[in-house]
Amino acid sequence: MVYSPEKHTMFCPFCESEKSEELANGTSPEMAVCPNCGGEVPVEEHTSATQCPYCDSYLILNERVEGEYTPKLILPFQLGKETCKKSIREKFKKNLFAPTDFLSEVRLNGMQGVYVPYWLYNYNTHCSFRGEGTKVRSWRSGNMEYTETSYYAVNRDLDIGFDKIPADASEAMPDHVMDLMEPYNYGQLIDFKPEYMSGFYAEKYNMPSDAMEPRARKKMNEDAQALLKESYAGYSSVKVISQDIQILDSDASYGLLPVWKYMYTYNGQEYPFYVNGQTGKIVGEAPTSKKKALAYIGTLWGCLMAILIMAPLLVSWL
Amino acid sequence: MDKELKREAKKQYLHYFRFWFIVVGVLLVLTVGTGIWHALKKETGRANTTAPTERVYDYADILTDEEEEKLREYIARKEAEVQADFVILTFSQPVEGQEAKEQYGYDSTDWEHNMMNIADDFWDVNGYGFNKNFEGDGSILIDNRYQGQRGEWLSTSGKVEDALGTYDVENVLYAVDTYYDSDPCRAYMRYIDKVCSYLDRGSIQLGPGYYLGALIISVIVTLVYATSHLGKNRAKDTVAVNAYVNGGKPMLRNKGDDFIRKNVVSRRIETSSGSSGGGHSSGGGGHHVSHSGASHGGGGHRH
Repeated sequence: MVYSPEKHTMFCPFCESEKSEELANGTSPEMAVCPNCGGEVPVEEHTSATQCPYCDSYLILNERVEGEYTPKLILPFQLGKETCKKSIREKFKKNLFAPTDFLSEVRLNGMQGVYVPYWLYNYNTHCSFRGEGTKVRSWRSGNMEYTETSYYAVNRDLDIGFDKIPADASEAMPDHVMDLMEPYNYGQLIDFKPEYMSGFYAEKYNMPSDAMEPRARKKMNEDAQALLKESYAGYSSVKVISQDIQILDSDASYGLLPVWKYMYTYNGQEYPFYVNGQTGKIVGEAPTSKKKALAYIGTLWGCLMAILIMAPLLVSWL
Repeated sequence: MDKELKREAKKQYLHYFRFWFIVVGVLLVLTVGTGIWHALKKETGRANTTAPTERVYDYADILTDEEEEKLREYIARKEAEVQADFVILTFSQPVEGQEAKEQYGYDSTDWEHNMMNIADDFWDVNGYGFNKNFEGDGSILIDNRYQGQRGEWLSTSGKVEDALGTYDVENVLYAVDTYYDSDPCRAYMRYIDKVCSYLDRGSIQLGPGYYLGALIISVIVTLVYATSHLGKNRAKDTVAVNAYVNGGKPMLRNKGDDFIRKNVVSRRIETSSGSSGGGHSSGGGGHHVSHSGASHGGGGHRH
């Protein structure tokens, strides 16, 4: 049984039945037994759901989604593999110099759905700002131009509540890429149930909440400063006298967010692509085939030169 | 797998450049076809076979036999190149005043009018013109060496008439004037060269400058194309500042915008007076109809 993003429920691709549960018990931290074929499946240190290499069925490692590792929330995949393949093709169709098989069906089929562990931070803050703002207006009278500058004391006090600022807790996922995956629509966030992991890969959190908190706090600070700035918009210029962002209280919860991962290897180099499993936002850079680029650029140049030489000759002879 | 990939790559390549290949192919066929036709046409030579073969009439006897021969050869070469006739006529007789009018039967006493008619009539009566003997392509330079009435007149016909405006005719005559007294043979060659240069102006010359320009344009276009397709499609940060804010906006507890002071500065606006430029224009032509009804252009210089 796997979770179907299209059907929003558990689904058996063979008998097409819906809803069932299956959990695997690990024999050791590095091995798990496949409940379907009984094969020993090698697992990474932080893997909590994976695919059996023998029978292709998916298994969830019980002890890695229980106790301290029980996620509070999960955002189930909303986009299936086919939709993501279509999105990737659409986004990179203009990358003409990408290798021929970059968007091929065979390569894109290797795409994996991964539940990435996230810490979601809540902050209640009080933000204050003191500054001096100016408003400038100009007018003309006869052959004279006048410029009037008015000075104001600008004060703002805001209460801002931040809800679920995400910071990924996976060492394997690059932080800057996971930041670019945002935003997620939390309206579809639900209480965790292991069956949603079926059909996908997953990790338990690799890093504790405290270790990731500075990243979330940085995002919170940047947003709070931007909101303060928005609150005194309209001045020609503003000089900051004091600005304070005070955290009144905070907490964190553990959740899993969906990401499709496509790993393309070209000339021995890996090109990872990540797709937000809810919104379809894509992060990744297409590789360039030098041979293809040279062929295309050379052909275009040759055609242009041929036209530029032949067209005037033809016109002069006609 | 590798073979399949190569086949797929080739298919994509041909599909992508299909319009370019069609355009270049059609252009190539047309250019080669037209080139062959053009070469054959050039080899066919002049269409007007009734005009005299003589081009240099030195009645004033100011050229040596060698010079006349040199001019004839030069004219033959240039006529083949530009497909237009060049005729030179020198003479020495009065063309101005009542006496000349009565003696030679001119219809005017005016120097310019009579020079123009002599040139036009000589051309028309002999039936010159590279492509046909009436309003055919070419020009005639007549040079009157009669004491006190010296000067030259240029009469143009057909495509030479079309190519040379008043300003151009003046330039041809100035070119002749430079050697008019010192070296008449050279002056007449200058006339031929100058007219040829104006005829070439109408055709497209694919010289080194053009090739360099084509190279630069094609390189620029190719670079723009390459850059636009080498784009990395980098993802951008699309998180709004209020994405994680409860209720989508902060709660405003206090807002103060208290006026402190103001200051005003003034400056005088500098005004500048404008100026207007002039220009020049040039007319075309000197177009007129000769006694035989043919259209001619041209002009003359009296010395």
